[in-house]
Amino acid sequence: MGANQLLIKKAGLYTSIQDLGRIGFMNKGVARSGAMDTQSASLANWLVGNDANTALLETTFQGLTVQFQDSRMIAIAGGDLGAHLNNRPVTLWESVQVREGDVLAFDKKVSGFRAYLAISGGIKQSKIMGSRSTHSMIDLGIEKIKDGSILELYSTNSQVERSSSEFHRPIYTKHFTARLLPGPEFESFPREYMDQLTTQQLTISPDSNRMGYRLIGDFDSKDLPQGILSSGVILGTIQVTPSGQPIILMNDGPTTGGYARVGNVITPDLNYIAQLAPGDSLRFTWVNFDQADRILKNYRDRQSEAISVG
Amino acid sequence: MEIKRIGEQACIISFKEEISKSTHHQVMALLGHFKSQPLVGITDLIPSYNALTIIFNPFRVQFDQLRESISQVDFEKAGQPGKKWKMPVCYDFALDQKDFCQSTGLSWQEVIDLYTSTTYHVYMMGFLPGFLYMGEVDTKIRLPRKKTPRKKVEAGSVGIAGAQTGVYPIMSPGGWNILGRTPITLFDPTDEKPFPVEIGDEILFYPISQQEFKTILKDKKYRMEESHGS
Repeated sequence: MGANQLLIKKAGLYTSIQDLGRIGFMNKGVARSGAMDTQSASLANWLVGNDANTALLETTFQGLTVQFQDSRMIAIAGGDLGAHLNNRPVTLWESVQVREGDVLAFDKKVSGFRAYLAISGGIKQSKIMGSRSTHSMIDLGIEKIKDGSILELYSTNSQVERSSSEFHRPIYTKHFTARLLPGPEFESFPREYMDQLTTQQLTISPDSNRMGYRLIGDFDSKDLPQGILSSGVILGTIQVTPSGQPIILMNDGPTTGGYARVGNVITPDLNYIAQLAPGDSLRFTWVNFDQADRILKNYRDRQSEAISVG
Repeated sequence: MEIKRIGEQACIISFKEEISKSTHHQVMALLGHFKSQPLVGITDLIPSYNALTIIFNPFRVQFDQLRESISQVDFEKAGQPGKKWKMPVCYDFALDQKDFCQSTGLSWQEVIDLYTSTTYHVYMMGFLPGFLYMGEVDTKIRLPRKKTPRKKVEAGSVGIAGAQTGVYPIMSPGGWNILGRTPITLFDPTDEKPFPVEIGDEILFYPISQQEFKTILKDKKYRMEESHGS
């Protein structure tokens, strides 16, 4: 082992290589994958001078421990999973110099659920169908992260030092209110169900993952639309099972589905849902397309501002 | 035809909710339109039995531009004919042989004969990479989706759910009634062409023995035969 490598001492609960995702294969049933919290992943890459689409590590909950084999700039963004460098706390949202032999460990989740570790140069992995993103359930040939894995890195002399302003650092709490746009079958749902969807606090089920977030609440299955003829679904689609359980489809979710689709979570809010852990809570509130367009525009402006002024 | 926005970055164009070649033809005409005159900003197009979902970058193309473009589609235009494939299936791997015979009142051989006498149209791929949704299955051998899906269905498993028949390209949980397995690789992410079959192709299944199944499975260079008959 040596320069341009990274040793995974412990993989933690779940760690994977991600970029911004795989585009253009949904017609074949291939999910987009990619970083669940795009906002933090892009920022992490920017902090070390990488392009937004550079492959980085997405780690979930806690436990990931890596050892660097050469001098690099790194940055951690997203959830605060208690990162320590050689047993000393590391500051998130800014670039940090590491040297050969340094050990970075994500010891204990403090807030959020997913952290992004960007490394200057980026993880070396050949693109498969246009992307370096791992699909958590399907083996596409992207390197899996296990205890003892050795990852190749691109060589770089980059010494970019950046920090993001407090204003641009998202804050993650154990409760989030997500904004929804109506889905294709919106009008087929009974009034009672629509009330139940927005008036109660829903809990993130333990069987939530990169494919989807299953939500627990009190739902009446009376008069719910039954299945539909399978058709396309997108990131953030809320499918409703015949028993009334809503499922938010996430990055590794299916590309088509046969459950009625009540709504869609707006894009900026998916970053925050990705930071909710099982047991955390969620509420829904409806917005219209004009509002959603404005929110997306503001989100985009804020993102470009974040990577220009830091 | 109904056009609905379903997110800031997607819209769905739906036709009559049915499995029929004429409805699917409209979906394919729409798909063909966006493939031949690509609009900058469209990132993904997901065709299904009766709908096309378009995913786009709203900072590069507006929903109104898509709507305008859709108004120019010629739905009467004949589509490009798909390829015709002959796909080998070993029916000794039928996990649900008993269910098929019991609910249809037919012998296993009769079920296979009916199944292999239809040429199936590939309507869509989805849910898993390369899962083929095909139709229509002879009414005599239609079985509804299983109430409790299996936790694990082997790659290549061929199943029936109502009027639909499908092939699982990779191992996955599955709720379709399994009547055989094909040794053909339907998804290879490392191949230059990861998917041999396209939406709009036609598939005719033919029975093979377990020995033939094993031989084809081992032969990495084996390619499915195209049928050139009419």
